[in-house]
Amino acid sequence: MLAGIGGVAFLAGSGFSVDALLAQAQAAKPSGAFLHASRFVTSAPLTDDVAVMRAWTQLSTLDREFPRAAERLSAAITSSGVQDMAAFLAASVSKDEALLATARTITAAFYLGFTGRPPSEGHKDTTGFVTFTGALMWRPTIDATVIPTYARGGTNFWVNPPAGTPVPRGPRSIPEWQGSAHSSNSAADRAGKV
Amino acid sequence: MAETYDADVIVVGSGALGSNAAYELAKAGKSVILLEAGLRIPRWKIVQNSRNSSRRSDYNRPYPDAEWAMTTESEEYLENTGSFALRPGMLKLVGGTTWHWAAATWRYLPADMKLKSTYGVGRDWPISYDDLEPWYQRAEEALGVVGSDEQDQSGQGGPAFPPRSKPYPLPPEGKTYMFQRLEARLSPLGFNFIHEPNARVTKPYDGRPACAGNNNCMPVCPIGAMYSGGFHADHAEAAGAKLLTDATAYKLEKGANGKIVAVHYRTSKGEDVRLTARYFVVAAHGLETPKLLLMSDVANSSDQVGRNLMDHTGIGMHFLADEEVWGGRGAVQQGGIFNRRDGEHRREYAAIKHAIANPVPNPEVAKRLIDQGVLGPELDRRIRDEASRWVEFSTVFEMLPHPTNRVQPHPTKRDALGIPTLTVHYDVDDYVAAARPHAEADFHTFVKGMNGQLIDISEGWQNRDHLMGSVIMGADPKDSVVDGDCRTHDHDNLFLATTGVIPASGVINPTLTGVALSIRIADTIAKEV
Repeated sequence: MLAGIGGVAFLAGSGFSVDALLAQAQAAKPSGAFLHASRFVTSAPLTDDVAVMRAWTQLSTLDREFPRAAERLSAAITSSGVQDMAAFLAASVSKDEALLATARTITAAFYLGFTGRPPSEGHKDTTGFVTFTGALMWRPTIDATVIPTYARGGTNFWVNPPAGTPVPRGPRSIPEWQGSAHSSNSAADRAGKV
Repeated sequence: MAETYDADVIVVGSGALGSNAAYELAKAGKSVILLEAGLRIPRWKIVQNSRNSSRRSDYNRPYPDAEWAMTTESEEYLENTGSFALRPGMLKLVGGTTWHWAAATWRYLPADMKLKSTYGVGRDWPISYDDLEPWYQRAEEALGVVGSDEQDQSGQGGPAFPPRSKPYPLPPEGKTYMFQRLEARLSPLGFNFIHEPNARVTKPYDGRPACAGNNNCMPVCPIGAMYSGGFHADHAEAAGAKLLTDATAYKLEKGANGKIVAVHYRTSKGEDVRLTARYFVVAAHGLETPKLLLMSDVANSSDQVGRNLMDHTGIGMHFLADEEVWGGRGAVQQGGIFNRRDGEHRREYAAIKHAIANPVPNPEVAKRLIDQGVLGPELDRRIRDEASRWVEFSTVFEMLPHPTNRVQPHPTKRDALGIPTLTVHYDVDDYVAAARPHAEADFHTFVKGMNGQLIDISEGWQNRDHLMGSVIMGADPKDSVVDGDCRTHDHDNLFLATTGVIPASGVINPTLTGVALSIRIADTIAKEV
């Protein structure tokens, strides 16, 4: 990975233009700087080479400056000496809005599983697919909710809350369907005693 | 010498409505041809397309949008001229648009069907709830509807209503934990929570497996637990109907004595075919059906074809509850709050349905947090926290029919087959606008009742893809297109199987009613052919 970063730095330092970097992005493997920055900001190994390639190609196409921005972010991470994203965000280097914008762009690609932004209206958009099951947004709740189309609990698993859900205070839940007038309207419920 | 026909009945459109009509007719021993503009696509392929989409919230994305069978996915296919961009999801493939829906299968209330008589607004249906009840039951059995037999579906907190001749074919699915928690805390405030009957089976039924909570009803159920019209296209074929795909109907040919004598269709290769039949059923979608009639100068002596277009124009709201409710477990929708579904207020403002949306919230939650600049381990922590407390309401309003809200063939634009595209003029009426403050007041009460944090209430209006009124039903041929049997006033052998016939929209998803009417059409035709 570090060799990759050095490679891009060498190219940039040798007078290669952004266009050359863009051409490289579209034609070659993701830069080491991009990989380094992406793994750092997401705290994920990002081992799906195809997804990483999609993200790299699409982000570089959407923004001609992206390869250089990724390189800047990678270099800033390295020079800051911090070990993880929490420390980076706490460090003075995180005051650099441009660096944070690049971190957000990378985070969005790997968390949401696509690049670009859908239009608010109409259907001409710039989005590109990165990954579905590998989207990192599923990770924090994978014990509680499914990745859509990948059910694993069986019919009616949804009646009970996920393990570890705090027992709520107040009126009780009733998992069966009953007449609407009296489904959970007992005096005890209204008093919040159960 | 007796005249020969290509079929007893030709059905245009293989969606849920057309396929059910075709199946019933084939089962009754009639020769049936079923025309479909699109192709037959296997479920696995649509599921793959869904997973690989960069815009999973666009439910049309996994489906074909061919230049020769265009859908509303194409901006150039539907031109809006009114104040609201009515752009309903429309699919063209075997099975039709019920490939993506939340499978809500409500019956209208008796008062919905007598709106003018009861509340002095809108129109009455020329038939009553009692007239349609037997076909509601058959439609529910065809679709495998699950439902609660105990609730007052009018939302007024009374005994079971509307009346049923038999119980639901299948019991309701278990109540989601989120639904339980909202009901437990909000029903003491007077809100009536109602189970939403739906065509997502809870036991194996008609070759379909029980729902396992894939939470992907829209854009596609990966296992076929949720109903789509493709099941009855298959059933129709098995019963002897001939299904022709890549066959876009573009003309109904008039003959003597007010009869329709033929339908003309065009293939993607530009081949034109003329087919004759004794009877014709047009089941080509709420927008495409009036377009075909208008292109053919058929059934329009009233000048009402394409007019009176209605959708369940909606708004939405998100908030964070003060406790973990864990939305996203189970199907994408299960029911909601129906206090304003019926009542005297309908004299003044539209009926209102508050549906509780239940998609896995991570995509919306994560995007919102990233847009706010949340990064690193804090992002994971807040995704989990907010996803566990995320609540979304999707609300719809009752619309009234107005002749000025209309769909027409585009005057100049053509698709790849040379067939006109669509133009739609749609304005949201004062009846809906007057209801909005009441819905928003409810929203604030919901948030307060859950000690929650309001995230947003949508601005403007939202599409709900429930098309009605475009070929409106009525007793008077001067102001309606079809009669109470869905037979066109102008042509004895032409029936319209579409939710476009519905003259009073209520607030419930119209598909079950459309299927009930379609089965009833088949029964009528079977007696006459």
